[in-house]
Amino acid sequence: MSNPVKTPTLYRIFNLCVASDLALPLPVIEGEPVVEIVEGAVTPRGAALWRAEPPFAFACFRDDDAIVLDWPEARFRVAATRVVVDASDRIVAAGMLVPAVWSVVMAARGVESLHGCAVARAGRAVAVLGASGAGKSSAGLAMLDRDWHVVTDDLLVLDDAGRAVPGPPFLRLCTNGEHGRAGEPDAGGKLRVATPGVPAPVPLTGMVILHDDYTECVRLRGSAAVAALLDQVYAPMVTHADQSRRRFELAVDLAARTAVFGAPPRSLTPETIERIAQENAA
Amino acid sequence: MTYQAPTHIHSRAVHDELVLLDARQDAYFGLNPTGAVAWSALTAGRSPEAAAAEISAQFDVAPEVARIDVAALVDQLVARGLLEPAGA
Repeated sequence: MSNPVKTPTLYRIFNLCVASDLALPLPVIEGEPVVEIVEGAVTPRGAALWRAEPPFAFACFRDDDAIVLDWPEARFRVAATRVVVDASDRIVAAGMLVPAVWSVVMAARGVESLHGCAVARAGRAVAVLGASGAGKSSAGLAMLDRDWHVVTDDLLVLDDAGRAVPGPPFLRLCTNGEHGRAGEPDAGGKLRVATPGVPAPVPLTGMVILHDDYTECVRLRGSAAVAALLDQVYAPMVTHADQSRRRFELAVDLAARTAVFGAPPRSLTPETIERIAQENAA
Repeated sequence: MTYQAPTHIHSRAVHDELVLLDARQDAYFGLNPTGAVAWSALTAGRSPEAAAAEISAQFDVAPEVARIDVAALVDQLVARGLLEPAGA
């Protein structure tokens, strides 16, 4: 008796068509796969390329043309067109893949990503960047009742024209229930709440960086804007050649063509986002 | 004496400032508008004295103050490996 042949399912993540043996929390599509996700053994070898400070148990390793990401719950071998997953809990692994592992997939494909949420209305987007708990997703959630749509949450990827690329159609919110929304718990301890997405990349009108450095919402210019943006790259480690240069170019380009603001964590109101969108629309 | 930026140092103007990347160290630096003018002059092969004269011409800065400030800036840039003597 032969084993049943697994047929991968196709998903779209940040404009990439992905064939996956692993069931992902994403809409199923049709198309030609660009990246394959397969289950299999992944073993870290050699010295760590980067290791997180305790209490976080994460390290990454180089393995030929790939990067091995090693968490206690799952390991991933990430190359530009193939991700191998090694995890006993497939649901946890699927939740880690999007968005945490995906920033490294994008880096392997020459694209840097930022830690942020983007919302859009009338063809213009505003991005909110910041560390976990700074209020990015909550700010995005507050816009849904004002006819805005979520472009992406947590992982912000920009295309060559600097437009925000649509990500998975959900927000990742705290599980305390204060927002009053129903959703699915994910591997990162957040609640994944489905939202209507956008069909195509959206030009960025403004970016707001939520950080303790700011006591009010202020416009950032020049090297201050560049430094603030560089502080918001999604993954702190450098895993690929020329990655520092790409991050630098991305931050400079964004600072030059987009209005960048700094604001205190959890301070952003819908009115401020709408004002930024209106005042900076080209 | 003239200076040059090592090949692993990348610079970009943003607004009226300049940001520098040291790709070997993965470190970023910013220069204010007067520093940006000095950098442009120095990396174009002009001497610190010529860079100071350009700053005096563009900003409300006395020539002697500009000369001292540019000399201090050159020392800092060289110490951080962002600038090196031409031909090094």
